[in-house]
Amino acid sequence: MSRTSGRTMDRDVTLDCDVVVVGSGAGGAVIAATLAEAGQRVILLEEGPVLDAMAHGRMRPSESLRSIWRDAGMTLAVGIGDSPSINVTSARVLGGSSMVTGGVCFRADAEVLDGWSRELTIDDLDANAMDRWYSEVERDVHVEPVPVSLRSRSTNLFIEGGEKIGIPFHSMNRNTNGCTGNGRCNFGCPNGAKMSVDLNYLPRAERAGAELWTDCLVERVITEGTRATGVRGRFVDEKKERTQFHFSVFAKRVVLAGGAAYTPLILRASGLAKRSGALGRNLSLHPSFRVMAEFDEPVRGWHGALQSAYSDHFHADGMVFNSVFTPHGVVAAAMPGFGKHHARFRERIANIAMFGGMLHDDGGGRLWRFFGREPLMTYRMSKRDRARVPLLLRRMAEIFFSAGARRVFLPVFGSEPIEPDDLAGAPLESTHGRLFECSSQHPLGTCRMGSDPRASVVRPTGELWDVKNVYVADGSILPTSLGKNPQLTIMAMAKRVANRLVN
Amino acid sequence: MIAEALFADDGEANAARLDWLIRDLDDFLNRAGARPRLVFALCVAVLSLFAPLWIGRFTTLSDLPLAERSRALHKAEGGLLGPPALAAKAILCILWFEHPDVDREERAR
Repeated sequence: MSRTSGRTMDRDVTLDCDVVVVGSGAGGAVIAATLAEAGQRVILLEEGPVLDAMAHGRMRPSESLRSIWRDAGMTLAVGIGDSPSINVTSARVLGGSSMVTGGVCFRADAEVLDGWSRELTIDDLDANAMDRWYSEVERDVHVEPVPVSLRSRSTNLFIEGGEKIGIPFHSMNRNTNGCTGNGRCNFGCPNGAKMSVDLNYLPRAERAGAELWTDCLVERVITEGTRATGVRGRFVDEKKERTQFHFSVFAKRVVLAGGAAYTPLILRASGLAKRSGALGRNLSLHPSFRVMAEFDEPVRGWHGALQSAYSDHFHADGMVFNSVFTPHGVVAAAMPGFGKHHARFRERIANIAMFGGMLHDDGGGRLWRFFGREPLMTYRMSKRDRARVPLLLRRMAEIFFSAGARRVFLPVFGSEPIEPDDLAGAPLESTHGRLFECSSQHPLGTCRMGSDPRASVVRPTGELWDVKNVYVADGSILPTSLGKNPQLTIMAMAKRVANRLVN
Repeated sequence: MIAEALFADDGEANAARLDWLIRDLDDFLNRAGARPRLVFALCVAVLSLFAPLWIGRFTTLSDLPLAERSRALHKAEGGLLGPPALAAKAILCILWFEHPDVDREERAR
């Protein structure tokens, strides 16, 4: 096992290898394990620290936020025009955002994959061709359906309400093994049951000889002419600040897997991938909305699997309902008012149920360089998606009322909860977009793959169009949003890219 | 100032729990990194300066009596100040509900 932390470095360091992988999440971990097992000398660089899975599971949610969530969970994509601003969450830790997901593993719909294959004329991207890579990663990360017995009362209430009005629900698949329903997957599992990549692909990579370097912030790709020869960056201290010491890793190939928000920044800082004008554009987010409902009965939605069931009944309208629950404090924060007004709602937290609604968006986001090393994200929601927001919220409120909810809390800043008779008259259509509370866990598309160098950043193989030896293997290469949680697809795409590199 | 306005039920907020919250908030912001610290400070500054305008008062939030402060913040969160109000409220609520008493209260229910 070879792990080194940049925190301990008191000098500049130069290394060399066959492949340097930047980022240790769903994309980077898969690439590192696959290439190391194929006999290549791999160095993996991660900006964040190491956090043991069991230690993460013992943390309070806010300790997880302050330790490994990027910006402590406060990253915002600023809404432009009539668009909501969107809280975009990700992690900076060994294992990347796989450490803070709910573990949901969907394959992309065949129509999405076949559409990519057809429109981009990439013949090995259709559902049949991708089946091999999906099957491998499903086995590797132990994807299994969530048993009905692990559904929380919160989830069951929404399902009961939906089924009363003809909306079917299904069990989700997740990468878990031994889940007992602690309801806190995204803040670490107390049983180590969430099979994030720190528990499978990264140990495999290490066993096959890969070196894992943490607390290493990659700032640019080193090039000679039209070929990349490695990466350069700086070590990071325990306060997440760059130290004075630099590292350089020289390699035959560079694989960038820093995620859709960071890979474009490295490329831009390196002066690469500018030709198409697509770098940093085409950002899709899967804008998501939490709707909460108060019931007369105690719900205690935190007992059970955090995410367990979904409905794609309104798939044609670009909407998916995903079960979810959040810590008490997040529930309370979504309730209106301060002081006495807020207290009368927060005293009823045990009676609150919650469900999530997600849009299969058209994109419209963009990354900009900003002060320091973090990007500025902006998001202009398409007219079609914007029109879907009130419809999504009405449908979710209707389901909760059908389940017997006394009141529903819509995600509109400062709005009072509504009762069943209020729903028809709720002014959702005329509410300005910036007043909707919206979140995203799925930034995608900022280095889109394609077969036309004028409209894409990477080739169908994952290699940059304008520089040899630089590959991208994270959510940024997905040409469009998926309408489903993308973790499994990112892993499968990374497998596909890795297979090309091995061969 | 904002935490006191948020968690005052009838009269005043629980002082011991507020002290615990402020200590934990300090640790949270110290460990979260420079950008979250800046974002949080901006949210507090914006709320402090502009929230009183929502109830027609031309002063800072800290100069308002507790009940007026709660009312100003409540009004402000439904308007342009919704995002900063939610950001501040989210962090304060997450920490508040992690106080050791919450588990005890939960088990007692």
